[in-house]
Amino acid sequence: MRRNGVNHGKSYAFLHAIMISLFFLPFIPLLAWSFAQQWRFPDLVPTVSERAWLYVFSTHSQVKDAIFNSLGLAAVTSLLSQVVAYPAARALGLYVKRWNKTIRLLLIAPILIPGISIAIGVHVLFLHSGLSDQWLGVLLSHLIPAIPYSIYLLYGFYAGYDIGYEKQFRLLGAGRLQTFRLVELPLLRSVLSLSILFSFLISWSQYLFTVFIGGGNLITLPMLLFSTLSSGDYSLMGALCMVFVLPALIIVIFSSIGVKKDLFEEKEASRVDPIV
Amino acid sequence: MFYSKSKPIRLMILSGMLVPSLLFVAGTFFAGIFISGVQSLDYFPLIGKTTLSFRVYIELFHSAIFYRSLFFSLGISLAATFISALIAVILALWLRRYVRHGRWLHFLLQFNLPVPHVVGAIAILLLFGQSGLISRLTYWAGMIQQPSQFPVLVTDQNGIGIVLEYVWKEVPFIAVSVLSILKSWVVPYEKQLQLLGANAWQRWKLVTFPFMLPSLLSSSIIVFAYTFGSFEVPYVLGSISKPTLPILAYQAYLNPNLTYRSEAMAINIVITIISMFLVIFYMKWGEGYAEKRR
Repeated sequence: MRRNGVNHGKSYAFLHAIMISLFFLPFIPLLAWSFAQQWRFPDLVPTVSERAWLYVFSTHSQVKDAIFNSLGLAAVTSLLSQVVAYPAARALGLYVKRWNKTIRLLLIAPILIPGISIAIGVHVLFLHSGLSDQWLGVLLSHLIPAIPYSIYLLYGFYAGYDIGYEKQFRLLGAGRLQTFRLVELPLLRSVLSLSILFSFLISWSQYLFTVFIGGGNLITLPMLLFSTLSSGDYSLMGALCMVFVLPALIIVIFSSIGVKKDLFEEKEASRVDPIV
Repeated sequence: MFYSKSKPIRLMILSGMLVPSLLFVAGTFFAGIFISGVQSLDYFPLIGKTTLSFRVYIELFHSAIFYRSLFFSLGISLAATFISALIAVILALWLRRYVRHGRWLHFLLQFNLPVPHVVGAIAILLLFGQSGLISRLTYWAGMIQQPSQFPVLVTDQNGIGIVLEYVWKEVPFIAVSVLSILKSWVVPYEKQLQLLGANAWQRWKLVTFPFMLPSLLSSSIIVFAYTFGSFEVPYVLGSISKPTLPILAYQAYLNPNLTYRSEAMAINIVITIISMFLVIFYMKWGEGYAEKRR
């Protein structure tokens, strides 16, 4: 499709301009506010101060604890959800033939039902079983959307996976671990890293479950963000938003590098979900 | 990896692989939904109610507030999905002309996909608020003199801010999934059609649109389902006096008066059932389409 070669450059630049303004523009006020001391109405540029950032990085602030809590929760959630999801996805993708679709639907259901419905029900459940207001309960609640999401991603891989490679390898005398390391893992790697990253992100951006199950005992970054929002400190809010977006940004860069050398390019592209 | 084992052992290993996840989902998610269901039927041993009744649902289906929230939510989701799909299709059609040197464009398109909705909502708040950046720009353009003259676009009665956030966030999602179709296997058909003398409109009508329809539809259903049940975005950008259905459930649940509890649970169940229908639609369109492709 090279029909209008003359117009090419102009329309290409125009497309760029539109996309940048569409997708980047909303971040400008956030970034500007994070460096603002005051930003009265008609001014286009705020009076600069690094107060918010100093607060974020100061050792005695609540922010540091919140970041550590969020990071810890997200890391553990991400790891555990792989541990639970991997065997299930493999079984569903390769071995289970009967009831396959039903089991899959049951396992993936938590990412299809809105968080508020789950959070309220699970909150009552955890209140009865004494899991609420605890680290463990919050962790379990973060796993509710994370595990199905990992299963969904990994199942997509195993549905198109040829087990013949493994069989061949075993036939030639390789051990179970060797087969995993030399055949399965290299093929699985890109999808697995995506699954790790996205389950990390699910936990990282989780507000509803943390606030319901944690009951305010466990302060995470999203909770701090919401309390800053209601207190009206826009500078701190901007800075927190920037910290909050950082992992997402890293993931985009990672995945846009990964996409090119990926075996399943098309599949990958359509697998990034809005749930996160 | 159990090619030579006997059938019972195979079954045991298989169930060993599936049971942890099934148990987890059953023990948290389904148990939670079950408790919502039971409590929505007015069963509260704590305050001495041990009989089941549909009282709450009957009251709910006669309440104007419930219907207002329901239709408000559905309207927001419908508007957001429709606008996102429209923009996404135009963007995808435009973008695919630059597939060759599309790496930077690809990055731009994917940039806001993993950004949390909360951040998007706050960004929209600071951008479209009455003293936000757009309002300031219109001031300098001489269109307004005071912030109050700027139209109310966030925390408004019509949910404009909410729709704006959803559109901003979901356009790339739909565009990415449509683009993956457009980039790959539509091109040869289009070339063939062009060779046979079809004009641009005929190519669009006969090949491009029908071929991208399944992926457009399935991603639109996902967007609709997500936006319908989202909590954070209307929490930040919505008006308190006009809640969406999830916000209504939240307000009812947090009400210190325990009698509102069963109402919250009933709204929960309504949200769940509507989502289930969307899941069925998705399974029919989305999964069916994935299988056809394989």
